[in-house]
Amino acid sequence: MSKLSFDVDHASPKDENIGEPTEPGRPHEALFLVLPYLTLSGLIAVGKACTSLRDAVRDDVLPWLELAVDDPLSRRMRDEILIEITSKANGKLRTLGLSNCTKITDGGLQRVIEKNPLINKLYLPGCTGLTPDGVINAVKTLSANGNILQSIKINGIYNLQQQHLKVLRSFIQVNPETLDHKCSIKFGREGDCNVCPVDVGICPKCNEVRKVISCPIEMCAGKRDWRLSECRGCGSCIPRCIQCGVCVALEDLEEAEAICADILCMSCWLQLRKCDFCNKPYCKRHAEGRLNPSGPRGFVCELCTVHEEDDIDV
Amino acid sequence: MASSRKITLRSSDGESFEVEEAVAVESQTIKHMIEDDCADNAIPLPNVTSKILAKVIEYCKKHVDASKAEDRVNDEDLKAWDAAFIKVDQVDQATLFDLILAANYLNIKSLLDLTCQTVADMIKGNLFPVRNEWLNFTFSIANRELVLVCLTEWVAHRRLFCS
Repeated sequence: MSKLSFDVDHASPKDENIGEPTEPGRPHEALFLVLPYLTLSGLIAVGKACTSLRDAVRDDVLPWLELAVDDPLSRRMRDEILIEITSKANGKLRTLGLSNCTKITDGGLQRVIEKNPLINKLYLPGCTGLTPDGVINAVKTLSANGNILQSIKINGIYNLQQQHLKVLRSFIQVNPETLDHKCSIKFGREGDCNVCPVDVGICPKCNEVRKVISCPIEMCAGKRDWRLSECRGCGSCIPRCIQCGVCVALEDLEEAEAICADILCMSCWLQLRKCDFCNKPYCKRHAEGRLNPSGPRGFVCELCTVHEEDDIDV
Repeated sequence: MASSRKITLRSSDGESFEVEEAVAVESQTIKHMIEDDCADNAIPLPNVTSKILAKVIEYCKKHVDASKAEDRVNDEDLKAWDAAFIKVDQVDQATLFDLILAANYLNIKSLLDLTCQTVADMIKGNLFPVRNEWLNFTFSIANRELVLVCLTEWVAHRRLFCS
């Protein structure tokens, strides 16, 4: 395969991943096709890699039509920056995804919506700078010109009440297939259900507006006294295993503890590697990057490591 | 009109694959070729090698079978199959990229979504390998500080990002 000419004007000099000298060249064509699937931090990182990717990120509209702001940019995202970034979609923004963007205000959201009337997916989980009324205004603006919202996520916004939920639901596209969807934790990436049009509901047990989750059918039958159809509630009412989503009985809660304080059911707990000192595991998500997969036998968790140093002279 | 008519696809390296029409038309490109009556003999696919075409056919076949009433597979099982199909130690990076190009050329949206999202997730998780055996491209993944700096640079150097 012929090597193409060097095309990078500012390759990153310090790269801990490169052990041997690397051969530079043009980026693979497929990377340009991946651009629309990247989150904002991915787009910025890729745009720094070389001039052709930088130009693609800067000048094309396609990568900017489904915006997903994620860590570590979420908490730093401000109204002005958001307006600039969304302007790259030239008014054709379809998905606005702001995950934990605590500095975004109702006013900022409204300005973005006004410039992008075609948004049909509005994801605002954890955007605590927004108010329910601000979200409702945004949804009203979007629906004003015949545009119908397909999906909205608002879990984490403070002071959500039942009446807000009612108003919001009236603006969402009604799809008979997804109407009675019973979410369990396994759905979607990172516990997000991509089937339900609204991510929160009214918990049948406490009547608050929360994320309501059902037990995965094959696991819950017979575990509890009440019938399967009632094993449905918010995280505060029914503790659930973070990995498989099954409800966890009170006795198991005390025995199947995790270092990261997440809840695990006994069967998931048994399968995870435990710290040599405290005999507790990390859940799968928190284990990434903390455990050396090819380590010899066990590991010592970060909480026990601190204490271990204190005991050296014992 | 659901027939068990067989379509022959020919890869760039001359290998022929016979598939059912229902599987072949998962590709919108091939579907249009058939509708335009260009499919009497084998359909040549000059942009797809036999290795990649075999994998594409495997994917299409599974998805067609999954939606047939008798073999109905629920969404979660199909997703698990997709995840295993695309798993990084099963599929090396060059193959993954070639699959992206093939899914784009053949216009198979679900395969394109699957492959592109896999690479996007690898970039996000900083798992993207940076080695010189990567044939024609290497790039470094910005670490967290660099990404944070980028956002500051966005504000300071808007011209870099806005044309």
